Amino acid sequence: MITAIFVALLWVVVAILVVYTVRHYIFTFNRLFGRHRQPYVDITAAEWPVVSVFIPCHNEEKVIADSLEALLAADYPRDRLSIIPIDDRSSDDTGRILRDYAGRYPKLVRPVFRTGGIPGKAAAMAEASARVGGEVHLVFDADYVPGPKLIKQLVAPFFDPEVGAVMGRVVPENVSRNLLTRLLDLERAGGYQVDQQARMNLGLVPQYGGTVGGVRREALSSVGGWRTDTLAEDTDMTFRLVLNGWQVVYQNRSECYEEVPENWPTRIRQIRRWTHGHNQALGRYVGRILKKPAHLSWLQALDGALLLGVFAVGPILLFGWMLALALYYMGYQPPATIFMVLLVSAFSTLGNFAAFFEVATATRLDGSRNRVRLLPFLFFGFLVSLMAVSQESILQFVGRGFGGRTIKWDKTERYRNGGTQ
Amino acid sequence: MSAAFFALLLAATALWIILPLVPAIGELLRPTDADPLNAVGSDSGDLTVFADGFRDYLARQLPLALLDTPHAEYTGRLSDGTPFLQVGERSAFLREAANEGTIASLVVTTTPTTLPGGEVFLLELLARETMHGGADAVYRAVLAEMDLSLGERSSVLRWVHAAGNLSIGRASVLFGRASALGDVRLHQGVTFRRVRAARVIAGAAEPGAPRMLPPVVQGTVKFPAGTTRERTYTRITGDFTVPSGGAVLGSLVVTGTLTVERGARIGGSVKTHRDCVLEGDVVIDGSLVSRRDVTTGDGCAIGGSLVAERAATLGAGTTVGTPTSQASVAAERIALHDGVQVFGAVTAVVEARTV
Repeated sequence: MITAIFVALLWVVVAILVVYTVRHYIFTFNRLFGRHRQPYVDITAAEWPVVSVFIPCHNEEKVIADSLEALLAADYPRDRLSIIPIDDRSSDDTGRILRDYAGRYPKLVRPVFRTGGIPGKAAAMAEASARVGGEVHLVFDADYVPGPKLIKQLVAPFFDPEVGAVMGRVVPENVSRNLLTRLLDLERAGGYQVDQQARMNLGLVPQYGGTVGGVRREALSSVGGWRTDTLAEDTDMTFRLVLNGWQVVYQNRSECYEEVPENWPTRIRQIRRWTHGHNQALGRYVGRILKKPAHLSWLQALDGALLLGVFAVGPILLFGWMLALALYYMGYQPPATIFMVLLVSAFSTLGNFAAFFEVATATRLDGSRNRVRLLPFLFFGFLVSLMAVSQESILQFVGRGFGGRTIKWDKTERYRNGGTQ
Repeated sequence: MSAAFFALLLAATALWIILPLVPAIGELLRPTDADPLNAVGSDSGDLTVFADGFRDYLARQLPLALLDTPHAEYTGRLSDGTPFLQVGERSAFLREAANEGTIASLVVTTTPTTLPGGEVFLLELLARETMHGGADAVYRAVLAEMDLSLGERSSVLRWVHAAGNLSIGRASVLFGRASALGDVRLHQGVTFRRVRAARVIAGAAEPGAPRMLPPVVQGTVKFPAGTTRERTYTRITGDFTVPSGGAVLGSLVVTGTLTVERGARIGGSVKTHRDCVLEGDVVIDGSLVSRRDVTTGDGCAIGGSLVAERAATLGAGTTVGTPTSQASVAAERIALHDGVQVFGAVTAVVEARTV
């Protein structure tokens, strides 16, 4: 009886992994041979709407000035632009820097200083966006350095009345630091150049990533604003918008530099935070999306559900390995085909991180030359991710539960100007 | 199995495994491709970026002595060695300097100039005064500080920019960008990809002034069953037709094909998941976005930008944008009929043409 249950579970695991494998292959082949959709990027002349650019900050003295300088150089009508850094209880020099910029550019830079309330990016966004106008709310992390044309590019999709949120592409700036930064550069390329753009091409559900992107104020208001009880307010926002009839679009040509983690502990903390928040969204929205609201196609609903489940793939994969081992020692010999599929799937599906084929394709599409040589090392990066994702997921599902983790600033270290904070 | 054979087998297996890692280890130890992806541009994305760059380049390179003799003819080299030709009051100087019509120098014209036609400019041309190009000329790039008109069947290989008005003759081909601070007039049969100006006009006729209408305050169109009202737009599932003379209040999203009959008006923006067909004299106050084709009849007016993911065909006299509100037309393929005017930019991914 137990053997039969284990075999059935193993088949379920294999089926899930095969679905994710097929998904990766579809996305990658779409990017290699499919039609490239980027309909809004050529809107270069327009009656531009009033835009508020939010920059949540917590101890960002090393990077915030670069970000503000880049935004001040943006090619956007000054009378329609507000830059709103949100300083959430910084204990370093961030507040002084923001006051300095506010003094020099009083009409453009209007910082918000938080001294109380729930900490964290989501709460900071919720509080500030409720106070400030602007038809479009763009969000950048404090270490991001946008190019002059980026704001117009990110605003352009909102001329489509159905678009609720837009997402641009994040490009690592500190690539050359070490093996980790180089692997993250490859992962980011796969995730954006292939995964996100394929979803855009296929009319599925690109994900709003919480930075280098924005939300239409009306859409934000229609779904109840930013949630403060989540660690992944971006994923949460994506699905609330999609479920409420808004479209999320991705613009591959709207690129912005970011800093990626330069050491493994920081990277693991980042993954665990993403996992927790993403799994919160999985618990909240997977049922509703699978019920397929009338405005969504079946493919969109399926893609949405798979997107919600990407951080569950890691533990599922581990579970499959454990089942296979258990069955082996129980004397059961599963058909070899299952192992083959499991093996292939294991190499092709690891949640949110683009699979090897995707990454190689992305480097080709980016016109990169030799960085693809590092592809074999990506396996080690994926193993670390797999363990971190699985650990957090197991704690979440079995231990703390979906809402059990304390909401706080899980700050990613900054490296600009050398050293860490 | 002997120990030696086992060791050999083990070494061969290890080599077999390590082989794919050799390039990876090499790239890790001696990086050859570890710079950030060169993806974040430092320019504003404006069509005039090349013209601005060329102006800056000339400011650095032009011999200072020329500033004192702007009307003189001059042949020489810029400080970076580029051959240089200044055409002053005697425009025949250019013809004399040409080799069977081919001009291998960077050319600066400093007086109003009319060219006979047929020239091939291998380097850039700066026109400091009004310039009229002749037919069948080939330009690499042109920067005009006043008005500029290019003759019939001209070709511009990279870019052309005029600080005044720009006129492109019939059957010309613009391979790169064209821009002007004033109007750009594209005569019949011009093919191009990216044009930006205060106003882009198709054809020789002078279009009429855009209509200024009061806002729609009440809708007169009955929507089909299943229509949903979202926060800022009305969603209609399937195909839909706005009847002649009808008015729609607010924005409209149609998941099928939208047909707007003659004289109807939509008081917001429009999004269609399939084709969008506007019959004559239709007015859309906001933007128009289609995942397929957009076809407009004669005399339509679109207040905002027009985006078609496949083809856009704008009928005679159609207006996009207004003199006080810029707009863009973007599609894979664009056809502009006589009298179309766009206050802003026209960009085709594959090709645009005037018909």
